[in-house]
Amino acid sequence: MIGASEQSDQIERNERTWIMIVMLSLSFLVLLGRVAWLQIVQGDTLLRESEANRLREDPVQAPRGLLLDRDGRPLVQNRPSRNLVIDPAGVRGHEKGLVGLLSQFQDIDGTQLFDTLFLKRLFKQARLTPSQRPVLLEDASPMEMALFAENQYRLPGIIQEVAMRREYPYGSLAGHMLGYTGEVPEERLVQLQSEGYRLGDLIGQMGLEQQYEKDLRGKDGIRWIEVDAKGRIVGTPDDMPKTEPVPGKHVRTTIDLDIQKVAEEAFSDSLSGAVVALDPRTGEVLAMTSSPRIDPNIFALPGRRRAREWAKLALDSRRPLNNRAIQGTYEPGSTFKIVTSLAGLITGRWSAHAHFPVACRGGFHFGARYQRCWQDKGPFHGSLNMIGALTQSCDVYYYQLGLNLDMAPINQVGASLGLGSKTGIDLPNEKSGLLVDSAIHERRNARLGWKWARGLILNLAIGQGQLVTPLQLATMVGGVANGHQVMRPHLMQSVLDPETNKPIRNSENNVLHKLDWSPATIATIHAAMDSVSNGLRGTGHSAKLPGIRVGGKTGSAENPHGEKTHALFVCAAPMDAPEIAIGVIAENAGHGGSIAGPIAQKILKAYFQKSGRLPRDSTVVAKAKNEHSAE
Amino acid sequence: MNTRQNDLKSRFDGVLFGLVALLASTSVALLFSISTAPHEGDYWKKQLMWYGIGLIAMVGVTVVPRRFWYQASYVLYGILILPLTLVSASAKGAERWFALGGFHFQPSEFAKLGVLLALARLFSDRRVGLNNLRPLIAPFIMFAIPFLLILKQPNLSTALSVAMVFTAMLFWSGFSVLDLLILASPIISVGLSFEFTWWAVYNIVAWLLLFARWRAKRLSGKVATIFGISILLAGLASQIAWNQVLKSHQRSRILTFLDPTRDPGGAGYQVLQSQVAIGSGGFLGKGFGQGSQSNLQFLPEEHTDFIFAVLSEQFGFVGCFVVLGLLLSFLIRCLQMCFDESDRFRNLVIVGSTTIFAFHCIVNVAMTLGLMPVTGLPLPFLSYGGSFVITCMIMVGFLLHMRLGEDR
Repeated sequence: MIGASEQSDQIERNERTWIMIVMLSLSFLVLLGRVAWLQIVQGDTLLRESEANRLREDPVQAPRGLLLDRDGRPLVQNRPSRNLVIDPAGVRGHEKGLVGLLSQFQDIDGTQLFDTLFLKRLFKQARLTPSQRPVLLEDASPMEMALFAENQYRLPGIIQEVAMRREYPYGSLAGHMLGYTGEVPEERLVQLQSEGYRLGDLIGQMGLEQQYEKDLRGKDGIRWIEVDAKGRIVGTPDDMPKTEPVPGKHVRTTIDLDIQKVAEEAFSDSLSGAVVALDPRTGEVLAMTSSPRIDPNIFALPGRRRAREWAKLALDSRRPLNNRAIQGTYEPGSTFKIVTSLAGLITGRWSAHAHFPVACRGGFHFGARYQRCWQDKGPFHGSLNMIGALTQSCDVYYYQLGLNLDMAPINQVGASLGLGSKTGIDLPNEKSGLLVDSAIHERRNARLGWKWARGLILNLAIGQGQLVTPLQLATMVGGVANGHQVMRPHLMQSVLDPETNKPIRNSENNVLHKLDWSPATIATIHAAMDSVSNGLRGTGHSAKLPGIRVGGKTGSAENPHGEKTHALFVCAAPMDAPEIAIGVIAENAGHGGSIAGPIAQKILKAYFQKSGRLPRDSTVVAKAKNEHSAE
Repeated sequence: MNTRQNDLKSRFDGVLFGLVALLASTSVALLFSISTAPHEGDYWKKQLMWYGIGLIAMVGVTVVPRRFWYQASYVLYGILILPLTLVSASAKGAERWFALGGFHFQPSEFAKLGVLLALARLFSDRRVGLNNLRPLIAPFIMFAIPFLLILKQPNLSTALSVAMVFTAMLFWSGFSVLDLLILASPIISVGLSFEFTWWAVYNIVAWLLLFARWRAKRLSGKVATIFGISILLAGLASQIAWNQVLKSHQRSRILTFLDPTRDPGGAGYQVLQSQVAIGSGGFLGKGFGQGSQSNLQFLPEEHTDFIFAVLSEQFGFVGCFVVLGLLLSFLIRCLQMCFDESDRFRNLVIVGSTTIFAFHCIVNVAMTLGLMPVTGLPLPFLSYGGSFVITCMIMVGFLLHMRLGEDR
């Protein structure tokens, strides 16, 4: 009995042992299966994840390319600056104390450096995104750096970083044209991420900085750093690929710093408007200025001060952010008479020597209307030929010429000289201006129900009604002076390799329009423009230069915005072989001859003095000295 | 003297001890591999010390006659359970540790030993079954006291490992696999009650099974009815408790416990990083001391609960295969002893110890692999921890001691 029971016990025991062994083995098999799934099937994915845990990209800032003048002098450069940043791993656990301490810091005049709310927001940001280092103080001054150095032992996790900042050494000089850089706007970040921009990266936002962003921007290098779970930097792994930063390319502009300086000086700060000087042979812009001016340096200021300055600009009713040289559109006024004259000559419908039946007695009767000449108080212009009419800018002559021609040929000549459409200069947001004919007039005034009437030709023939930019004026007068072709204005001369300073790419001097004018036409219009500045009764004497044949045309455009007319002046010199063409517009400043002409003259003088064709006069030398001491 | 030496020789299982020695060395090596990380520097030295103490305890266990362990089991039970009551009486309910002369002990680890011996003695003289519940009363009370005390600490995982010992002994003393399933059926009902269709199907299947068992005269009508009703009530009660009694934050805590990936920044972080560490090891691993996840502290609790992830990261699939193989060999080697041993007390001690080891191994590794909720259950022989290493070594002592040999 006992034996049998023991035997059955033994059998049952063995059975139960086997069940346990099998269940254990099955459990372990499941575990091993899971291990295989994680390590063999998902191994690569999870390895990448573990690498992503431990490795962090640390960008190495690439210097941005410089903007140079035509002689290689920097108009924009980089300077190193110091930022104080928060290292999220370092400040952990000290936030409260740091906020308390930092909020007590004062600058020299006793104001608080950081307000408590700002600090709290910053520390919160550091806690939420430990991979980024929020900037506590941008571009710290030596004073501020000293303050931090003194207190360093009490400021764990506050570290300094060196960053390059954009610097515009001549302040507002050519500010609009150079533009500025700013942090990539958040709304464009998504789109720009594919081009490698990250939050906080700088991007050109106006002028040449924007236009040549692709060239100027270098390619940031990448360094890998190893971090632990708390985000502390442990080291730099040697086995990871490292990318060296590629510096941005320099852009050599066509701007002549000397001419630009003179242009800026000549165009007083109290005036609004713009000046453009260019070389009609190539289209190279020698100087371009717009007033009210902006100093791009303010966009490189640290955060709060930048915002303050920016608000000041944005709210200014004079709209200083506009680059008036390419974005300001003005009625061309009498400067347009060059175009009207040319239309008569080119079509052959009017000759240079012919006189109109109605002589100028201060006005012109058209139907029931009486349209005045600007000189309606006498001495009256009388009967004039074309040269005389342009010299004295006789409105009555051009009323009749306009009626004789109709708008089509006039606009045709205007268009061939670059009016009414964008010149295609290498700057963003250029305006196209406007040439008006019957169709365009009715389309533009459709809401008001205004119809075209022949009487409108009277206004348009003397340049009241069209819109031009200062750049278009300079382009036009350059084309007229050249007589054979109108060149596309441009600012980039070449893109330079930052290492060797050798050109990588040169700009092409492309022709905007070929002019197919007869020598007689050219001679006539040149003689007329010459006479404007040099003739006995010329309105543009203020631009006269001894020994240089300057040809020009004044303009005083009426406008609804002020009592005074816009003062315009266009000119080119020397007329025999023109090298420089200038367009000047001063808003609500008075007459072209008295206000805009002298500005052009100063630029011309500086240009010809520089090339030695005009003796340097004492005033210019004195000014140059002043400038030097001011710097 | 000579016979004594022979006795010792035959009693000493070289294979079993060899497996333990291999696993212990692996543990020290792994702890050494992460010693470059801050705050992890000393663990390998301390672990070595714990193994030293554990070895002495193991030898101590084998030196004492087996009869002593049988006779003293109730006394030991009482002595080892006592600290549990002291701990739970202290103000801090969540206190698992007990300070004694500068050392911190986890009394629940040692309490397991007391439960193991006492239950083995109780079960050694009775056969139990679902139809024969009366002899179960004493063992049940003996199990329930420490179970509830540990649960109250709270230390769910250790409490469950005590429950597993009890279950294994039920199985060894007469319960069939089906009986155990019926025993667990109300708990399964709770789990399924969240999916009504499944729960309904389960209820019907369970009732049919109970009915069939009753018809086959394997189950008394009374017991079958009790289980049938409790299956139904357990499901209903769990739904009422879930929807009416528990607050939403409590529900969310339970859900997060069951599925840590719900909270990847908090509770799920460990599981996620553990899986990343294991997976990134690949087939061959990153190499000794090259585990970035463990060295850079992405892996929390790496020296204790997540030691398996440390192993996997450095030694890959090959390393896991070897170590899981060693653990399974150890467990099977333990169970093998039961084939030749007729003494019920000894077999119950062997089965109980093996169950504790197996439960720890499976739950810990499954947790590291993201298959089970994170409970603080260490991996036998590999995880760092004084109380745990010593307890494990004492149980190894029992296993070696309960082997063949005639001195009873």
